[in-house]
Order: sequence, then structure tokens, then C-alpha cells
Amino acid sequence: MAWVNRSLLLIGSALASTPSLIVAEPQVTHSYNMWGVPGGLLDMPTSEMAPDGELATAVTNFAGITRTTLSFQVMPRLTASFRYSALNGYRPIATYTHSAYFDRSFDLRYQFLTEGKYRPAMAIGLQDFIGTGNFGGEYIVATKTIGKRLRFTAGIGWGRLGSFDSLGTTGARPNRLIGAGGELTSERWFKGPYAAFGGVSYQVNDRINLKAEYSSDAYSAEMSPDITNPSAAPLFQRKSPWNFGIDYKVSNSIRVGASYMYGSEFGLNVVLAMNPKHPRIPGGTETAPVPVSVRNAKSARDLGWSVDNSQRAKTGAGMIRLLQKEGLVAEAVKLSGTEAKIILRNTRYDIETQAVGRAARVMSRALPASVETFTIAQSYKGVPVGAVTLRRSDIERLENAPASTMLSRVAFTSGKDLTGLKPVDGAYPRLSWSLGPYAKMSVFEPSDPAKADFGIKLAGDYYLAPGWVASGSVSVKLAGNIDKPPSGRTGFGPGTLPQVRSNARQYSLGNDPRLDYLTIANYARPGKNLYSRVTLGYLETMYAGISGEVLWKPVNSRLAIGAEVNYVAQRDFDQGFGVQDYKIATGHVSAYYDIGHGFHGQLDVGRYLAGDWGATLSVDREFANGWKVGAYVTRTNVSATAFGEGSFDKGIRITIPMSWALSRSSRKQNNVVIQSLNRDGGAKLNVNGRLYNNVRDLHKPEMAKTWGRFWR
Amino acid sequence: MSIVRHTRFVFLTMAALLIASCGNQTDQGVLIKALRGQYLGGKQAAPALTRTQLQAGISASLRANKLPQKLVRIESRNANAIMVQIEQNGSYKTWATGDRRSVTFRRGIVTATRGLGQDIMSSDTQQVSTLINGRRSGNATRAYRYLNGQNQTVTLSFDCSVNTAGRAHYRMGQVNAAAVRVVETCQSDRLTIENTYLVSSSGTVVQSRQWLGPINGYFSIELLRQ
Repeated sequence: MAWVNRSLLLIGSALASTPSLIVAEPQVTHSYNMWGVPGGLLDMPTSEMAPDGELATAVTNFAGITRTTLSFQVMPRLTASFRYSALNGYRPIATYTHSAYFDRSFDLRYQFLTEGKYRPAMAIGLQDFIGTGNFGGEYIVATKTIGKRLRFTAGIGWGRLGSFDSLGTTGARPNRLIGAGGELTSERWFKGPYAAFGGVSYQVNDRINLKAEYSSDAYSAEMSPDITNPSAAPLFQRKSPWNFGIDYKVSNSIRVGASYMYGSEFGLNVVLAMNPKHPRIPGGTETAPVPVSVRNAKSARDLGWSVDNSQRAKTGAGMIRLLQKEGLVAEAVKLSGTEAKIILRNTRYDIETQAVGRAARVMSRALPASVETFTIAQSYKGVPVGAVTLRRSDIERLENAPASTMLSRVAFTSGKDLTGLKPVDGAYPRLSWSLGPYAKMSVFEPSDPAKADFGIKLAGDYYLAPGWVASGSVSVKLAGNIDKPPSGRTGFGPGTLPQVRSNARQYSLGNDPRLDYLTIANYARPGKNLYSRVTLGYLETMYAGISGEVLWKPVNSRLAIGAEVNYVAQRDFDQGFGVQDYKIATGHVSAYYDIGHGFHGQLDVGRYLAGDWGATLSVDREFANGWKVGAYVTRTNVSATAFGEGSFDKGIRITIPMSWALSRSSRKQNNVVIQSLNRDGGAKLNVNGRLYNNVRDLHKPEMAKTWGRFWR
Repeated sequence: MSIVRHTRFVFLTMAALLIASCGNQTDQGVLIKALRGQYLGGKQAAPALTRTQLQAGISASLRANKLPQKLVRIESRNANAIMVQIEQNGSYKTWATGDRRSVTFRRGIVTATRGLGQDIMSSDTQQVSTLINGRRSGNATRAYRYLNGQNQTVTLSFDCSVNTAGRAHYRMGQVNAAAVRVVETCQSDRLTIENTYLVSSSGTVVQSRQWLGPINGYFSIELLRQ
């Protein structure tokens, strides 16, 4: 089949050398391939991207190989994917005991050239570029759309993608395991044999897509799947390099596909895609706010009510009742003749801007005409952390104008000047509690696809005074397998650090009630741009002690700097009141920065739980509706062998706001973290109530992004 | 406990808790409530009213208070509602239904909605209003502003041509007026919409059919009492 390879190579280079036009829009597809990445082919990549912001889960299967992939379109021209593969009957290491081999891989693809009238789109990609690199491959690919329905793809691949009928080599491709696994396999990239691949996809109508491709992946490793048994049957018979498939769009979120792979196997493909930018009903369906009430010009001069205490109290009480109807609890109120200051606790709106707008409307209805300035602060644990000052005349004048005109008229302040406000009667002490089921999941582990624990949890917060809160949670496990011991895997052992996190399963044993946390915390405003927290007690499932934090964040700033210091002892495995001998002082200095264009970065430098020193870098793509998708990497001064399998800590985290799915405001959100391994290096304390994320939403940068909701 | 009994115990406890997730916070069990609504039925769509039922409803509503009232309907949802004027801010009048959905009008032309889904946040209607309320033909522009999925304001602008199209007599509720039919045809680069109005000699819109947006479609409004 060498002539096919050479023709594909010629087509590819011909397409690439045609004159170029400047087009900004990336080439996009809604289809995903058999590796779970965007593309209109099957095993081969294309230069196509998914729509910006799309998050998709694809499950594909053929020949006993099941791939579950989470793919995210980080930017319009950059796709990142995390894959969990299970290969039935595959045994690459003698000590492996499972019947299926589980492997995790990461892919990146960048469309470096967008499609023009004559020019194809071109992309460069890395497949399985971290860790063992079992499925490792690199490629450069071009895809051209002809007319409205046809797309041709041609490319060159290395690694797996260069293994069938290779055309030549670019040096020797090393094969060793770097460090203890978990490292970038950069010494292999674009080295070794390379081969050509290609394919065509045809969009029959808006639901059906047909695919045909020529695969350069020889599946060499899968041909001898069992290292202990050289004569074991291959996972499948690779009779032909041609693959064919059909893709069907069930709905905007769901696609299914069927394929015939390598002349011998049938394949299946299911994709669930969602896009944080597209909720079901943009703006939501929740009910109307109260309309603004316009004052009578004459009564604005009447200040008599403000010197009469009982009148003022009655006015305040009326306003508090109306605010309550909007889901806003007034924790402190100060009314004077011309000014009203309130501290609100927002129990309903995930978008703080909407809470401020609704409060402003209520105040226009409830307050006497002489009050001209409204200062609306919002609190975290009873402490005001940000405020907006508005003029009532602007509220009256701009109710029916675009929201942006209001934004230019308001002032954002830090709220520090409201800390002394006398709390409303009955605001303190206050108890908030909940009893309900919980589910704890542990997925995509190296030796277990899914483990879960289920049980009941009783939690409560007792607010003693503004800024003082006692919190606790007790849970009872009813069923689960998170305490299952791990099975033998790679040759790498657990590392030589103190066991600060890797003994997590010891904390999951048994069905006795366990104390998740029991703390007393104080939050305060030591300065105009300063916020502080001190937490004492049983801080998390594994550690007890004291944690202190200070944050510097001016209200109009995109940069914040924080410092945290903790002194903790490791708790007993039964999660009762006892502690073990291991004690450690940890802490970090952190810089947080709103990069812009939807990106946010954080750098923490300091000492981790095992006594190692290092830094963590996190980058998140944030959407103004509360969705966040991001990744983090931690490197410390321990060697890869001391760290153990994985070499260094890394992970992916996703935050999903409940309001996006419900189409109405809700403060609940779902946080998912997929961590590489539960190792001891680069481990941070999990203490509740860290300052930055609870403060930033009330400051100008975040409020300006969502200001469209002010009048909603 | 045997395995079977233990498993049953777990499932029963989980089931009981899922249905009765409790506490004293707002937003408690919100996901469970939403799923319940989705899978176990929840609110049914109101059955279509007969003509006599509708008339009876209107009469009862007009007797209930002395406020201005309108009969409204989102055509795609085929359910009638009566709106009452609850507030006025300059030339903008806000009307609302009993279940807290509101529409703001300026001289009878819709400028904002709340609670209808993909709400109009605000609009620019001054130019078309001069023609429509003045019962004249001519060309003008108008704009609608909505929120997109990321809480940003997006504007849909249209070029409109307004034409008068004959006379009609409007009688409904407590309104009895001779009116001119005015048709407003608007075009953007992707959409064409047509709003129709019956405008009385005083410039009041007594009946109209107005476009609310891509998801909601057309909204029909009939004035019952001024």
C-alpha cells in the first residue's frame, strides 16, 4: 500500500502550498472520533476543532478497547483531552493482575492555520504526551472543506500514527519510562518512523455524517497483548488499513456512531457534549423583580421621618421584609436622612450583580424619598467583603436603559467602612443545618475506573456574631468501595515521603460515624484592602490544627496576593477526636490574576504537607455564568523516585453552576476534581472557607463581567 | 445483617433521604426537586379555554379592581393571561400577571419582559413609536437587547418600515374605539419580523401582535381597560 501513502503525501503538500487568505474563524466540527477528540474521521485525527468552550464526554468501543474521553475546547483553536482507556486482555507488565488494562492519557491539538478559500486548515497534535505514553503519537494534519459537505484530510504521523507502512524515520524514538511516569514524553516527539494517513467525511444532511479513512496506526502493541504469553491471540485482526463509519446526531447534545474498523471489527461511539456558553434558556426563566418606584419630587425634601426613631425602625423593617421576598437577607441596616447602607446575605442569586440590582429596586420602593444614596454591601460569613454605591436618581432614570449605562454610574468600594454596622435584631446567633445523602466518587484511578461511597451527612453552621462561625459535619457511610485496596500496577512503588495523603483509604474503612470537620473560624477586615481568616479545629478528614490566611485584594484590581500559614497534626484513621504523631507546619504565598479573555491564573509557592517545598500553577477557563474548567500542576523539591508513581501532582478541575441546568438562579455548584494520583508530594491542606473565591465575586472585575444581569 | 437485607436497607434509606433531603437553608434539595419535577410530571400545561370561559374570566377580572388591564398570550404557548398595570416610570409602564411575569410597554410597544424566558432586557423604540403611535408610514430603526448564555448584553438591531393598512373597529372588555391598522416590518441581516398594531385616534395601541425574541416568538395583546 506504499503508493497510497505517497499519493496522500503529495496531496497533503499540494494543499499546504496554495496561496493563503486571512480568515479568523477556525474550522469547526460537531463530530468526535474513536479517540474521543473532535474530528470527522475514526482513528485518525483531523485539523478540526470543536466549538469554543465545548465540553464533551465520548465513550467509544471496538475490539474490547473502551475509551472514555473528556475533551474541552480551551480556546477556539486549542483542544485538550483527558482519556481513560480500558483494554480487555491487554497485559503489558508481568505484575499486572486485572483482566483489563487501564491507562490515562492526555492529548493536545492546535490549529495553527485556519481554513481559507483555497487553503486548508492545518493543525499540530500530541496524543498521549504525558506518562507512559502507551498510545503516544504526534501528527501534522491538513483538512479542507470542498463545497458545503465534503472534507478531505491528509497528514503525517509519528509514534502510533507512524507505525503502519512508514515512509521513513526522523531519528530513533526512545522508549524508556521517564522519571516515575507522569512526565512529559518530549524526548520522543516527532522522532522515529513516520507514515501518511488520510480520510474523507461527507455530511449527508444535518444529522448524518459518513466517514472513510486510511489508518497509519498498526496497533503493534495490541498485536502481542500479553507479555507473559507470547503466543496469546492479538486483541483483533488488522486485516485492512481502511476504516468506515457513520455518525448520527440524536440531539444538540448527543451523537452516536457506528463503524467498521480494520476490516474485522465493529465499533460504537456515543458522545455527550455541552457548552457552558449555551444554557437552555439564556437569562433564565425566574420571575420578575419589583419595578422601580419613582419619587414624588416634592417629598424628597421631607426629612422628618429620619429623626423619628420609630418611623425609621418601621421603614427599616418594611425594607427588610421586601428584601426577604427577593431571597436577600439584610444582616445590618443603617438609615439616615439621605443615605441608606445595608449588608446583605445573598441566599438566592449565583450572579451577585443580580442581587445588587434587585436590592436597589426594593430600596427604591421601601425608602422615603429623601434617601438619595444606596450603599449595598454583600457579606461572607457576616463580614462585608464588597459594596456598590448607587444614586437613586440614576436608578429611577436608567431602569429602562441598557445595563452598561448604569455600570458607568456606580462606584465599587471594599465595604470595610460598613464593618461596624449594628446587626439587625435576630441576625445573630443563627443556625443553618442540613441532613441528606452524600455520594463520594473516585474515578479514573490507575487501577480502578470507578469507586464510590454513599452515605448520610449531617452538617451545620452556627453563626455567633458577624465574622464568627462554628461549623461541623458528621457522616455515616452506608455502602461503598473506596476502601478497596489497590491492585499491583507498574513497577514503581509508593515513594519515600511521609504518608500524608496516600493513606486516604484508611480513612474510609468501616461504617462508623466519622467527624468530617469541626471548626471555629473568624473572618475579619483588618484593612481597606485586606481580608483575614483564622480557622481552628478538625479542619478536614485527615488533619486538625490551626489555619490562618490574609488576602490583599483592592476592589478594582485584577491581581490579588494572599498568604496562608497552617500548623496541623494528622488525624486518627477512625476520624474521631484523636490525632496521630505526625505534625507539620505548612503554608503558601499566593498570587491570583484575572488574565482576561476568560482566563484566570493562580500561583502558590510554599511548603506542602509532606514537608516538601515547591509551587503550584493553576489556569482556569472561566465563563461569566459560573462554569470553570481548568488544570493545575505542582512541582516540589522531591525527586520523582521519592514522589513515587506519577512523578509530580497534576489534575483537572471543573465547576458546574446549578443555575445553568435549572434555568433559574441557584447558589449551588458542583465541583469535580480529577487528580492524577493520591500521592504524598505537593499535597495541600483542604480547609473550608478560603478567602479569594468568596471575595472576588463581589469586586469590580467579576461584577463588570456579569453586569448585564443588574436589571434582571 | 445478610447481604440482601443490608442492600435493601441502604436503598430504602437513600430513597427516603433523596425525597426528604432536609435542613433549614434555602436551596435545600434543589436538584432533587428539579429532577422530581422533570421526571414525575410536575406542573401540567393549562388546558385550552373555551370562548365562554375566556369571556367569564375577563369579566371577573375587570370587576376585581379598577386598574388598567390587558389580555395577553404568547402564541407558541397558547395560554391566556391577564396583566394589570403595576407601575409607571416616565413614559414606561410595567404590567404584570399574578405569577410575577411582567412586560414593560412604552406607548403600547413592548420594551422589556421579565420571567418569560429569554427576556427582552430593554429596547430602543422611540423612532418606530413616532410612526406607529402617530399612525403614519415611514422608515425607522429599532433595537432589542437580550442576555446571552454568559450574562452579557447582546443587541438585535432592525431596519423597519411602518405602513398603515386600513381601518378597523376594536371592541373588547371596556374598550370601544375606532382604530387604524399599522404594520411594522423589520429586517436584520438574519431575521425578518412583522409587528401589527391597532392604534386609536388618540395614539393608544388597543390591540397588537409583537415579536418578543427568537425563543418566544409572537405575543398578542388586547387592551381590556385603559
